[in-house]
Amino acid sequence: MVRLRTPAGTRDVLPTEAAELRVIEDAVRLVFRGFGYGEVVTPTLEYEEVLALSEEAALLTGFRMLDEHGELLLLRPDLTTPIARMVAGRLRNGTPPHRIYSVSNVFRRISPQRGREIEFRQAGVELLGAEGPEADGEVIAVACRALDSVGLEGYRVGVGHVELFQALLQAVNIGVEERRDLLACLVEKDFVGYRLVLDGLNLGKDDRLALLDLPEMRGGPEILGKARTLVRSRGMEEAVAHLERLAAVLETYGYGDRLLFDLGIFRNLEYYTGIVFEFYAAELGATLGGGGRYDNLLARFGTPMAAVGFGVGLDRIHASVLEQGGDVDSGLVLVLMPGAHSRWVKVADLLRTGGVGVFALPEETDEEKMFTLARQKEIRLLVEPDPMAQGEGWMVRDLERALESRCFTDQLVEEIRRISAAGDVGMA
Amino acid sequence: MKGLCIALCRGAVFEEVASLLERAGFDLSEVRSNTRKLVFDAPEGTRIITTRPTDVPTYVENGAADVGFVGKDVLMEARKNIFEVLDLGVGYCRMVFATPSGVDPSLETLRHLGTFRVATKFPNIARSYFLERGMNPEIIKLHGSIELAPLVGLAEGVVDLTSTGTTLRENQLEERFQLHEITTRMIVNRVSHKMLAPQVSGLVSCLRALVEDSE
Repeated sequence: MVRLRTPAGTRDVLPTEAAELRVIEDAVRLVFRGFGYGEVVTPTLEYEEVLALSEEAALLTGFRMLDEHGELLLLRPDLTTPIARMVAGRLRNGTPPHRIYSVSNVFRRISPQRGREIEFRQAGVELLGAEGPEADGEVIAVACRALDSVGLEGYRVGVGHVELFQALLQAVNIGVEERRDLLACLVEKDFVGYRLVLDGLNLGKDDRLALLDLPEMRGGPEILGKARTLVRSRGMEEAVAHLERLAAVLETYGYGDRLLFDLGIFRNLEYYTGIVFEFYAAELGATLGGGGRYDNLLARFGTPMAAVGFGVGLDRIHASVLEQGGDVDSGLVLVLMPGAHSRWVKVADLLRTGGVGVFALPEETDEEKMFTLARQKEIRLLVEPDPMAQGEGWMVRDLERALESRCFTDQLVEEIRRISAAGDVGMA
Repeated sequence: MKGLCIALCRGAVFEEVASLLERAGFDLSEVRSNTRKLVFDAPEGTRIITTRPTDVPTYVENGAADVGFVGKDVLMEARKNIFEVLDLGVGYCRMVFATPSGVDPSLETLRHLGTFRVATKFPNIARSYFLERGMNPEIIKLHGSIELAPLVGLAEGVVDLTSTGTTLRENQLEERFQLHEITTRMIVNRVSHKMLAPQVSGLVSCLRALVEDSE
């Protein structure tokens, strides 16, 4: 027998989960639009040679295939790079800033033993052609508003600045190869290996201490004061000042308390040039998402332009909200209705127009099947003609609770809503 | 302040890790006395769980434990997405390639068949070590008594841990080269590392001081 498998790291999303994910996605989209971000949809397949212009090795390890001309195609590995490609091409002559959002599935080849997904849905925004702490702050604030909008609580935003560490490496006299080794350890989050590489270098005491301390600095605003003591160059000075101004911007949005300064954030993409950030929920062992400033990426596609953006995993937000006992109900009231696709089509349409979903059943459906369906489809209400009334009378029954009510056609939508709400109160 | 959930494994290195933690101020008397229990709630919200060594990185990666203590061999084999923050310096041993003593049979087989067979509990480590050096041996995953494999012709050599070399010698195996040196590491969940930064940093610097003291 053929086993009806899906590839490891992929899964089917069934109606309950899909409906909840949709609620989250809709809320997030609404926030993005409220800040003036316009949606774009880029192709699921890209030419490998075009995305390779990004010089981002981590993106090119994804799924590849050949088209009929033998050209290498790549399944969309992230949201940012295709948008950078699109803006550098199609919007080259447009007037910045460009505010762009997208929600798409992205594909990564992830070592199977980690049991992680190879296809997952991300939502992200990119603010292109805008610089400074205000632009950085806006993007982080959009993300926070999006997390707020789905009811997530207690999340934190870790913010660092890649220039701090880069500038320190330049100020301290270290060879290119050792630099790469040190960065590789930090990206791998291997502080033991990092110390080992440092131990092998011939460094002054102060330089060694600075390199040891900086990546482990994380906490409140006091961290920036500590970082100042390590400043060796104008670049570092500016990076610290930038973070301070960013904090002030986020304070005005009301997100000052969410910030965790973290000078040890090293995301696995090399295209970041300024701030980098990640979102954490205590309930989840993994990050919700993250982003940063990538001012050099568009130049690699031929149109130099400053840019900052983020992506968050909708599945991860969903899991965190559920873990917190949050509400991801779409609020759509759905009813079972025997005969809705034969004798009662008009009445069913009346309900649908009134915002009530109707799940049609054959007229002769027996009681037991009705209850089974109600349970499996998570539909609580049954609408059927009232046997006691003549003609226009209806009966609305709550199959989970002993609730029922009778009414005429013109009151049916209202009555369904009333019974449904009464049931919800009963649940609470 | 929320306490940390710490994953420990019982076994050879437990004593050394436990005594470090005790010197760092944790009360492990119940963990020591009750070897059947798996979860121990300590004061100030600290919680200690005991698992198999190979499960420690899994608990930590998924955030079921904030912090864990486990050998570098397990970490390298599991390749989890976690922070590795401190080398405790305890539990020292070496991961080596060994073959039956005398003429190295793996070289013989390599010459005649272009490949050879390696039995190991650490297939990922062994494979990447050989691949990086341009060799592509057949890796045979075993779960215990690795030394048996070359004795009965299942493999030409083994990749295994050794501390004194006694087990290798007793089975007429000879160390050919060392792959890695192994010690116990402290690992941290990537979100706990940020959300519980004061607790994590406190524990790291306390343990680091103890480790550096004993060096």
